Amino acid sequence: MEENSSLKRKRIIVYAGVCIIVIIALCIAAWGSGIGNAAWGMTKNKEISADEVIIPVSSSSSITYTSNMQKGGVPPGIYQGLIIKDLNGTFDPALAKSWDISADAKTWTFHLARDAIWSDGVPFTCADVKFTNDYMKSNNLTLAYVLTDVQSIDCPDPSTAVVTLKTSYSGFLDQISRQPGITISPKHFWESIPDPQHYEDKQFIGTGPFVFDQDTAGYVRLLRNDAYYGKKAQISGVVLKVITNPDSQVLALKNSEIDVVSDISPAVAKSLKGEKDIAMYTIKDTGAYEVAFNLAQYPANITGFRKAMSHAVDRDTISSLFGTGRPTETTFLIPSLAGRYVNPEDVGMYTYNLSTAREILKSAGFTWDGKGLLLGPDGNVVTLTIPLGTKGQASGGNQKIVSVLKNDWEKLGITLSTVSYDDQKQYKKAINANAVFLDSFPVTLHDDADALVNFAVTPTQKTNYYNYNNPEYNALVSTIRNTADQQEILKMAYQMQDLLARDIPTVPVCTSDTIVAYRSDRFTGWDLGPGYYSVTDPRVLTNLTPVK
Amino acid sequence: MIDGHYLLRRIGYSGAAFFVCITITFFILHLMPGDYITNYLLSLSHTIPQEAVDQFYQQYGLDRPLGEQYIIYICNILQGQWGYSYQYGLPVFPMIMQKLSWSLVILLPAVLLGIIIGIVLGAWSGWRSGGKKDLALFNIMIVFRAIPEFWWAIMAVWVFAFYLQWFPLGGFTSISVLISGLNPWDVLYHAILPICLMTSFVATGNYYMMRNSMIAVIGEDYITTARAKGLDERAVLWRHALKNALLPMVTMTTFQVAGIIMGNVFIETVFSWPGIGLLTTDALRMRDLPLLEGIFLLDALMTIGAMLAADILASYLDPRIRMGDQ
Repeated sequence: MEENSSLKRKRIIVYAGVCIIVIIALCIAAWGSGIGNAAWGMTKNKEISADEVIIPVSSSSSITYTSNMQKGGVPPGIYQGLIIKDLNGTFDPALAKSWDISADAKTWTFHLARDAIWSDGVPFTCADVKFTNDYMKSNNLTLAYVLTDVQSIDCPDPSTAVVTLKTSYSGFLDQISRQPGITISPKHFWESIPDPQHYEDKQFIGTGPFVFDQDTAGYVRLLRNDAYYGKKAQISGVVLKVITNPDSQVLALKNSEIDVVSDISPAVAKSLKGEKDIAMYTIKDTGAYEVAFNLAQYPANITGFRKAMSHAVDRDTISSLFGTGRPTETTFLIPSLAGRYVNPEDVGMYTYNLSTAREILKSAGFTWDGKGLLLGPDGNVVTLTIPLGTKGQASGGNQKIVSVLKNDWEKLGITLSTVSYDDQKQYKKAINANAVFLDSFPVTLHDDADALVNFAVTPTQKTNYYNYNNPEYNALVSTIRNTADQQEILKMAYQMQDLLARDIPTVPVCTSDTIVAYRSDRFTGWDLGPGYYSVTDPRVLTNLTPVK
Repeated sequence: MIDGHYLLRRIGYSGAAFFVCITITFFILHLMPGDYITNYLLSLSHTIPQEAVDQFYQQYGLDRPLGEQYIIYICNILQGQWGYSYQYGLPVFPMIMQKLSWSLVILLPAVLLGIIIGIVLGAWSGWRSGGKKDLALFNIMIVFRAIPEFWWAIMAVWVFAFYLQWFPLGGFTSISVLISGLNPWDVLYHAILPICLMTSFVATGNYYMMRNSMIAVIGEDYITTARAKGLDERAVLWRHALKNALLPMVTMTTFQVAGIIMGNVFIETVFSWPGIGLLTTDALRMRDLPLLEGIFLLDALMTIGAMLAADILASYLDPRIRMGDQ
């Protein structure tokens, strides 16, 4: 009996030992083979073409979605829209080579590229444009809301698409080209797919400068589309590599495993200075921050309060805390992107001066108690809670702004506290319940006259973030929608900025920049200037040149 | 020993516990602040027409009363339909299985090795408790455990992958996969560093448990009896002390094995190993309810199964434990 159990125990020990030895032996063998591969260059970039650029992405879900039509997030450079918005606020042709607009801004005629073909060889025609609109709407696809204004699309010939809108809309081009925009999908492929919501697209048939090759174990590979009708890429392909950890992305760049890392912090940029074969550039004004008011809540419903606070935001100090970026001294639009749309008369109106702020508060009926606390016209101490959303959290932007505001606003006798929200819905509720909030808008919402619609109340936009409702402003927004004349649009945009300068629903604070580091021994041509804030922008990728 | 009727009853209770688990999970997930539609649409634009938003709620069935949604969910589960992920539009079950299989590549060997190493070291250390070697090992384990997991992971990447270049920086394959396809050796090569780290962490946890259990056992009468019988120390340790000290470990290790289902977010993030842990945090962030429900359903299934297995194992290993006889 004793012998039997002893034998059993020995057997268990032997099994456990064998298990450990097998696992360790496998690891050593794999390690040996890995070291060998590294020595032969197999784990580096030698096996793919030297002309293929390797770009890290933080998650596989950010590059491949099940359906190009459902989500809009797909590998870059495969799909195209009719037009692409240019960095200067104008539009670059894509599948549409040119376009005309009717005087009432209700009918848009797009002249399509005649030599564009889908990556499976089928010619691109107007039928694809019409199909994209009809199919997205009939299948309730997520991005169909972008085409809400479209009444119908007609095809008088294969290379002309006539888009008729439900109502006049001069910002239609902006609507279809601004993030997320609308890309055109191949009719011959999707028309036989009855349930695009749950269809896993593995072919990615597009018309862009790159074609889909494969999605394998943490890599997505695109190859140059040699049949592309536009400017062909000089690189032979793009490999997107999933590296979830930002620190590992930087180490991979140093080790030559990848060619570029975007959105690095100023501290990391400093540490990369002087590294052999690593160069950097800064893309200006990629993020924008504002201190916004909810005009439906006390004390932000008092114009004098908002005006006073506009002089209590120290943009210079906040910008310096960001490390990159600069103060925004306009009413909403960013000069580097909106250019001529910025009304010069409204620039620099909100100068930082706490004495001025104090004077304005006094004249608006605010007083101070014996302890220096600000008392509102209702006689109560003014305390503010600022809801903080997720958008400004990534770069620590919210905290930087709050730290400066707290210091200054407490000097004015205002007690300030903050509440952070990880959820968009909760954040939206909170900003509706508080007088002041911080927000961070994508720069594409600060770049032209159409961006000013954010402050309007219209039949389709029942309210806005600021609860700002000025009939004069709303009328201008309605008129601007119906106007095709650019000079008229400019004139009205100036008037709208004058109203914003007077009513102050928001105080733009600063913009931030994006720093990009890349291997200068591999490719050149990354820096295309302001506006190209993504290293996977097809225009950036087609501009790259391999270093011989 | 475990009685047959008791076992059947136990399985019945497990089924009920599973049902309660998925019910609680369903309601907690649905009552969480925020939802996928708001998160996703607001990330696209601030000016989406309300009609479009309402249409999406209707499309995903989120406009129905919560009770109705729950009944639909239970009916679907009973029919083996786990639903479609909001984010990916893919069926939930194959998605979870795919990510889980990648997680298992690092977690299964790490947990097994960690259990074995932890038990052996813990038993040895507990047997020599108070000695110099025990104290040295005990303090090494304290230091190792006191420093957070993600710090060790970052340091491991820094030293072994970046400076020494013995291992890759992350991912589960080399870029050569695009040309030559998936190579198991290559996957294992990428898995070694995360496996070693995970093993160390699992081993330290088991070491403490086993050491304490062993310290409790060495004062028992049967150990004194075994020594009095003239058995040598090794025989007393491995034949008598270890078997009894192992009993509390059974429950712990079954739970550790069941815990594999949830992956390891830190290790997966640092080593860019897109497994179930990253999928769960991503789904939680985006409020992808069908995906979360699927993951938690599988987790509940594994945990309840592990509890049942622990009961059966314990009664098998210790004949004194009799279940269902009373």
